[in-house]
Amino acid sequence: MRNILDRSFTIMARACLCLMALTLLGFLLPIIYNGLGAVFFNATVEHEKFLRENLDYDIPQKKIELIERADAARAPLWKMISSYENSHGAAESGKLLAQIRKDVFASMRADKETLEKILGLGGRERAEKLRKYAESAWKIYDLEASRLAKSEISPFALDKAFKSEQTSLESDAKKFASDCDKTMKLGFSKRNSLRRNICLPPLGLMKKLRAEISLQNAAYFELKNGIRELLGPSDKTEKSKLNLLRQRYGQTRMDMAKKTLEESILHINIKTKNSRGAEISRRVASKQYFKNSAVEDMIDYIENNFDSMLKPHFTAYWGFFFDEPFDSNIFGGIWPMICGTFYLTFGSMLIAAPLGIAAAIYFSEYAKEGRVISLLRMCVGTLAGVPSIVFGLFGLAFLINTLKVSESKSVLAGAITLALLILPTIIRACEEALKAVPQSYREAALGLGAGKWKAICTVILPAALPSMLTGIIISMGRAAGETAPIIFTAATSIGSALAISDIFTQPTPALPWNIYNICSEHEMADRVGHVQYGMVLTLIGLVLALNFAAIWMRARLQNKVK
Amino acid sequence: MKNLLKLTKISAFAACLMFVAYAEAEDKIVIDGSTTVGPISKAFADFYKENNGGVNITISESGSGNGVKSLMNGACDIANMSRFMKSSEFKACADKGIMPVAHVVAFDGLAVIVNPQNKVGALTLAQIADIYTGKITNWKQVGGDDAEIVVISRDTNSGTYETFNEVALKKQAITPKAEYVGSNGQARTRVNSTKNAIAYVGLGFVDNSVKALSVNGTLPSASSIVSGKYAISRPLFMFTNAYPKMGSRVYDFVTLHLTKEGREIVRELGYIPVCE
Repeated sequence: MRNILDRSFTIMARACLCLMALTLLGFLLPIIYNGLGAVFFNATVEHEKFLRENLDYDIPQKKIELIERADAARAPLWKMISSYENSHGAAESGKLLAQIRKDVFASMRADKETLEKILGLGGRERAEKLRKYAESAWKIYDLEASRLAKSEISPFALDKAFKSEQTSLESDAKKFASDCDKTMKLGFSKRNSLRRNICLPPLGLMKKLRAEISLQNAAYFELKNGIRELLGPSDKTEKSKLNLLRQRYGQTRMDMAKKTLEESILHINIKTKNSRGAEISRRVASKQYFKNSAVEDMIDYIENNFDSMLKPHFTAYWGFFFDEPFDSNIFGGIWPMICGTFYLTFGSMLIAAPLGIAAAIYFSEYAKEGRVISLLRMCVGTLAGVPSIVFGLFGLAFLINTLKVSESKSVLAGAITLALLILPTIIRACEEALKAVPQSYREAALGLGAGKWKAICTVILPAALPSMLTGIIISMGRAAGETAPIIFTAATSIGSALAISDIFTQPTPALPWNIYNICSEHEMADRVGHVQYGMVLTLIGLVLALNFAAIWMRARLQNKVK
Repeated sequence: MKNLLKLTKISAFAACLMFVAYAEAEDKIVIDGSTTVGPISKAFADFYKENNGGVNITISESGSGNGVKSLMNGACDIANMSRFMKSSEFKACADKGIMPVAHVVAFDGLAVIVNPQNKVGALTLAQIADIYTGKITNWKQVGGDDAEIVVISRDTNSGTYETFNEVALKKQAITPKAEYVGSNGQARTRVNSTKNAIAYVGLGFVDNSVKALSVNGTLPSASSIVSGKYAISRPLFMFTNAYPKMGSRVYDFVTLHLTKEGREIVRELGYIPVCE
């Protein structure tokens, strides 16, 4: 019976251990795999371009050649785009329209008498007559414009031509009216009436024609945005006009590039109307939508030359740990966050360790058990049980708003808050360590004539130091990973890496907070998933490293003491 | 023992450094507040740092309400807000000797978003109000599948919530079944992962993972918002304590949206610049 119980217990315990190990693996492996993806990944040439232009990296000749070859592979695409946008015949047609426009204005100028007669009329009648007059005068122009709209010119080029005609019509009308004003002395209201009405029919037509092609153009713009998102701008002049880094470069990672191809190029959102006439947006396959047009060729070209335009190559981007982030973490690394976590952790340790050790010495060596001491002990115990967010709010309300340790959030305020959070753990650990020192040590020291203080300093503390340090370092690990206490006291989503001199007045980004911030608040959360995983891995690595340091230090010190 | 002494020495040295640091003049702009205005201020900060070295701009995105509180306590230089200050907040500021000045940095529409798989593509403002007040509870009632609507709202601390509540719901109470989320990004993620959810986010947060509905027959876009056709839109603010001194860093920052580059940044982020 006893044997069976024993054995079943062993089996159960082993199973539990296995389960724990599996959970740990299941939890750690994806984090490690995805986290390493932030440093080691299949990069596109855009990654090298970004590094070279923003972080002054020395890119080896081989990769420069890669960039050049990729640019060469992209050239046909840019050519297709520009020839689509400046479609054949669009320029000539535009010129033709402009010529007709000039002719119409010239004939109206020559026909001064009719105009004078109409302008002589009163208010409403004048406007009506003017409009009728304009309608007949612009007939040829309108016909030509309608013919153009039905021709093979791409909607994009057409829209551009019509738009420029629209502005020229308006400015010409203004000029015409003011010229008439000079010769005929029209006065303000007549001049304005002339200006408003003389070009009304062609302007209305332009507006109508542009509205007709606007949906098709909007779809093309959507696709073009997708291409931009994938490859970045076509040349330097276009690049210099863009302000956001995310638009100056295409996708830097191959996985993201493939996603962009699928989601923003092969499928696009278009505007259509539903049965009740309300606008709705719909997702369509872009190839289907642009069937049998020059745009379809563009999409085909992108699909077929995807790799040669992006030149995927495996890369190790160590700068992920040491570079500043760019454009809200879409590019660059996480150095400020690592720095911030480092400052907060060590800052809190610098504050909490001396306090904790002193308190522990008092508790274990000096204090006489009594009501006050047990009350104090209870307080420390309760402090250990207070939820971390409460510490955060306390830090905001007391340290920042009342004590004003700094004007705004700062590393100092955060470190103090974290120190308060880990203080009870440190006190407990140090007290236990001191209590574990055999009574005989104390007696021996006192017996040799040392005073109490001397005995503590020379005998008891050194003996207890290994376990005390372990306790302190493990609480540092906790401080590094805490999010809630620093939300209100130290953490920001964007900020530079601080110099030591800034930590008393300035807030900082920190790993735990930024991990949360990216997944919840980032406007392009999909695009920075790898950064988030990278941060998680870094944080876990940091905490694990601290714990290993504790183990190592303990082992070393213990040997020394012996 | 030696170790301990070393430690004390190091901390004493650090303490000395601290006081030296305190005496130094600092160059910083602290920004707090709305998650909707966040992307604008982040992009502005990048642009500003590129052109003016040596300034540390820190941005926290804790919601409009917290932005005001921060400004009130003198804990930030600029409070981002996606709604105007309430009279109670104004009063509290004035009592503390803070004189809030509003800078309208951009316009924004609130897009009502659903999962891309949702059949519904258009709703009227009245239907949206009914969904959020709990009168309509099933997608079937507005032409979709037979499934219960999962109503997602922003938390009450958010300016986006205030705008939506005022413009779309006319200040009626939101159904108790509604789920509250803390940021635009969370609302989008929730809708992306829940087939029957509906939520509202700033226009700049709409991407391919969700579908924007047309409201009263109009889809949200820069042109439909500028023309006033789109029903739910609002200005976005940055508040400062009094008008910043000309030529100061804060002054440069809160007038950035008026410059050509600033307007382009606003447009590139998917918001609408103030002076088009």
